[in-house]
Amino acid sequence: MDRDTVITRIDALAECLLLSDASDAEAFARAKKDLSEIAVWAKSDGQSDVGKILESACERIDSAHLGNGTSAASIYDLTVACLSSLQMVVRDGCSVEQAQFPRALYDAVVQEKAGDEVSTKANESTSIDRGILAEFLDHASTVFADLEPVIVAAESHPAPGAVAQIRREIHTIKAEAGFVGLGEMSGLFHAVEDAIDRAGGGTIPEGILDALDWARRHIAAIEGKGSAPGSPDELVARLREFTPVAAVVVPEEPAVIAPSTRIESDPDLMREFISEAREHLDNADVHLLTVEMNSRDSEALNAVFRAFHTIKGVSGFLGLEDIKSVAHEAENLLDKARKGEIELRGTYVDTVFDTIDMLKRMIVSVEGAVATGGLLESEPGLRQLVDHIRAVLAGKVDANMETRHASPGARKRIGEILHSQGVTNPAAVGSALAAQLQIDTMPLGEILVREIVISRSQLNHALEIQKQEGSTRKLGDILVANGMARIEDINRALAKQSTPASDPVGAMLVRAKEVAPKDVAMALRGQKQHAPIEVKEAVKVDADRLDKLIDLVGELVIAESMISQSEELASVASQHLTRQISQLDKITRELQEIGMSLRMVPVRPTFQKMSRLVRDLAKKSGKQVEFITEGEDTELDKTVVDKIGDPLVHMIRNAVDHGIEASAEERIAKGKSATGSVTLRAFHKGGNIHIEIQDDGRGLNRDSILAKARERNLIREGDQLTDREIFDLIFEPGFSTAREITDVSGRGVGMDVVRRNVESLRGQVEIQSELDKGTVFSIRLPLTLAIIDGMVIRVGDERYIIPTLSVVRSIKPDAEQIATVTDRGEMLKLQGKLIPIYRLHTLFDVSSAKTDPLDAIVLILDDEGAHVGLMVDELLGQQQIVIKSLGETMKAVRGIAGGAIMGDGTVGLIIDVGGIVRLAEVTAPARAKRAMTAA
Amino acid sequence: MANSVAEASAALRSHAAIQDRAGQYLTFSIGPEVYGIEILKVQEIIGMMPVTKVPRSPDFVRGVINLRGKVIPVIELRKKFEMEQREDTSMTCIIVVQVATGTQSITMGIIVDEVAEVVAIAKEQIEPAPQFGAGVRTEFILGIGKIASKVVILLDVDKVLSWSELATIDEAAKEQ
Repeated sequence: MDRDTVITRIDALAECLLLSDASDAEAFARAKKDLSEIAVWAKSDGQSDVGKILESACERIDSAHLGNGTSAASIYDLTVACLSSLQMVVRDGCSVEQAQFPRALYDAVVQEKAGDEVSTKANESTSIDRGILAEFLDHASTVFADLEPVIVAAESHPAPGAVAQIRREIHTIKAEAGFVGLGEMSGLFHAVEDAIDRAGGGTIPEGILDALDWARRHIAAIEGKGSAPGSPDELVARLREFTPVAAVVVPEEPAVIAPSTRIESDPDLMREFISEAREHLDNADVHLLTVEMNSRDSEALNAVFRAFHTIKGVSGFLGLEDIKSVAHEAENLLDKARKGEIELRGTYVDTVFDTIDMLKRMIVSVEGAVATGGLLESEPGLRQLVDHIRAVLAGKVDANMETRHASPGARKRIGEILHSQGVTNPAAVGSALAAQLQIDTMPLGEILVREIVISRSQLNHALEIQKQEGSTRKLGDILVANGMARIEDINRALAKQSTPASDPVGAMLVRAKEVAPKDVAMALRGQKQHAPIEVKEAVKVDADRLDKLIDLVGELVIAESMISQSEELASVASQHLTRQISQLDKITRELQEIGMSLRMVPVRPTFQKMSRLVRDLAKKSGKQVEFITEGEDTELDKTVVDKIGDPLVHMIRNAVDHGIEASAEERIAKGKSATGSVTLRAFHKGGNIHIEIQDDGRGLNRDSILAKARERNLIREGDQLTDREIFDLIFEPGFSTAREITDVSGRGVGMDVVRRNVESLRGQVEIQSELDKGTVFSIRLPLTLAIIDGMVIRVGDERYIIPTLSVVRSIKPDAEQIATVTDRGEMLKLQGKLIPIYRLHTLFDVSSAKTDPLDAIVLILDDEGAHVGLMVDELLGQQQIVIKSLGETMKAVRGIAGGAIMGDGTVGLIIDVGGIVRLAEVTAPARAKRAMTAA
Repeated sequence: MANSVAEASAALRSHAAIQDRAGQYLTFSIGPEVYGIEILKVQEIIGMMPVTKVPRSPDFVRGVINLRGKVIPVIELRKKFEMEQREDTSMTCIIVVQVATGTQSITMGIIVDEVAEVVAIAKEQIEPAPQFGAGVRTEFILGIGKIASKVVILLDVDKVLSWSELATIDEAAKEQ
């Protein structure tokens, strides 16, 4: 080997290491091989110090049994740093001292030189930092204490989960012990691990507990709390002899099947991983779009590849097996593309986008699990995705197949296409265009992060170094010196920096999280065949500021009405003033309308997601289902659109899974067309938004629901219920476990969720259904959340607001209508029905209110479909109110939904109808809710 | 023996605490007593305004007010301290304070008979809250300030208006 070969090999190895990470065993193996060969060369070349340093590095790679986060990562860093020093020595001819080899390696050599070759137990840890050793000892003691009961339990009842846990912990300790220089302990646990592996998960080898005891004594000795336990050789030998009695072969589990796992890694590491993975995925989105436009752009392709690779590596050592496996699959696909075996387009790109989406969802789950400390649920659809990727890789899926048709018409700009498909709005496109014009040069580090050459934390680390050194070195130099980036990467990034070509609009939109990258890809495909037209101008605004503006507009409307209705002003008889006031009034109303419209977005994207859902569900269940959407352009408050997705998914799933008949024959036998249909429509009606899900399937079976309800004691024998009340039963929590419902009528999964979500949006759900004809779920939602129509009422000296949406009607009862029923309290006879009357003044303890129902007014309110009467003194009128939260302290007040600023500047309280009813039921527990509605 | 050690350490701790308590206090009166709260806790002082009663809340909560578009609760200190009720006068004020509750701070109003002045109290002028024996709650008293001949009871606003107490509103209501 000559110097040039060595330089080439060093460079190649550096590149290999940079493209890999601490969890990549292959890269380490290669590094070890290369380094040991270079060590031989170095010694023959007269550089024995370098040789020794490299040998010491090889030993460390060996001892750092890989797969363990901490030690693998530090060894990785060590190797990379060692390489960069090596480059300095070999290529630039620096001396060993100048090259600044990592201290841990360099010290070992210097020590050896000094003849200090004593390697007694006491000295074992001299090269390692005392703090790290103490930390390890502390950690190991904890692990042993935790592990002991697990081992004891597993010895009598071996469970694969427990064995896996034991193996994992032992493995970690082994690697850490090796890292801190406790060779004997490391060796012992290596033997333990081997024994467990040989046992195959079936049995627990004997001697593990002995090994633990030995390790404990050893630790105690190091800590100076007793004598050293002697050599573990005998234990090791015993463990080596261990042969499983009846080795149970555990079938190799596919990595993705892990319904729920507990996250065991350090939360801080997790959080860092989460934020970095997000950034990687976002960048990958953008780069993938570039690939979509030009599949020969190898830089972009490499960037996407790096993103997946990094995520795979990090998730691997954090124990996030699901994420690791899916990233691995995608990596395989991208690797093929990198090697030129496939051209990344069409289905391939879609698949990668799907994977990115899946990973994003998984990251969200991980984040949730980390935050709550709960279990990490396996992401639905993961298995399918992995299978799909494999199928694509195996060439079973046509690469040219388009999953969605590009929009027809003249050649449009990308923003226009996206807008016409409803995936974005002109405002977002406009801001992306504006951002495109800003030719701000990005800092070098930022470019590198975007290109996924380095991670955010590496950048921060490098910047930190720069800061500490008093910024004498350039960032690029630091990155290269620390082995975080290659010279080529830096040069490329610098070139990019000096020619600030901004990202295309599509990429900008994706970065701004305005649109899904997949949509842009689709639009790009469509664009290739068409010609351009103009884009509407728009500005992107921060949502918080928008909310603030809407709040203020609300205040303005109130303030304006306070002025225009003030008595003092009315007494001024000036035509001029009146005209000006009416002008002010007009402008205020207009402002309010525009303000309201700012938050409105079309439901189209949500509906489009549903169409995909129907397709998948139909495929899975083997049914033929036609999905029709109507009124996709109907606009809803953004909050509503965000929250309505879940309930829609539940209802659509019900409609397809249970509503539509299982087979075409069954449908034909009923005289229906073979293809079932599910219609999703949105429309305005009476100041509300209505969303309906209609299917032409089996319909709800009244009798079965009734039977089930009786069984569950939701209703009494002999209760007469209307259709509506019966159908409402399926919203009862727990009424909806799939099995019961499939047998009963095929309805109900998640219906409880549906109702709660819709109600949280101050909406209502209704069901109409006819057996064998079909079912319609109607959701009624208020137009906007911030402002509601309220009925202002008076009780005694207090005023309250009742949402007009809940008010069915108001009556002044006469004596004949009032009846007192035993056990049920006061009831109101209305159209042949008995409705319970609740007195607001008793519930809210208001004095000086009318106590005789005959003097008072009874408001008939709708509570989840049931009617109740609320006795109040007087109706003061209707007005639009801006809802205000009562704040943390008051949010728990029963029966109050919030506050509103009234015309006179005081606070009015908004009544929560559901809360009032429950409050009344608590105060009069004898009244069962269902019982009230009996005729 | 153990007892005296505990007492000694308690005394030591309260001494240390008093060291930090020197500073500026807003003094106000309820009945004949003068109280002080740390000036840093006070956001503003507003005149009495119509208060909307919140049903089913503890009796020391007079209700909520509209503070420039924000709805904040107001607490009646007279009730909180179990003192005799009286009509509001022209001197009755609402002191708007920021109460720390764990991680966040909540804006609240407290109704007092009359706001006096802002005084600087040095640490020599502060004595620990006297122990009245079991049954008398003194944990919300930071200490007793002595200015000339006057005695100012220094209140720990965070404890007086502890959120947990307010959060029990619903519980209290339920038990009725």
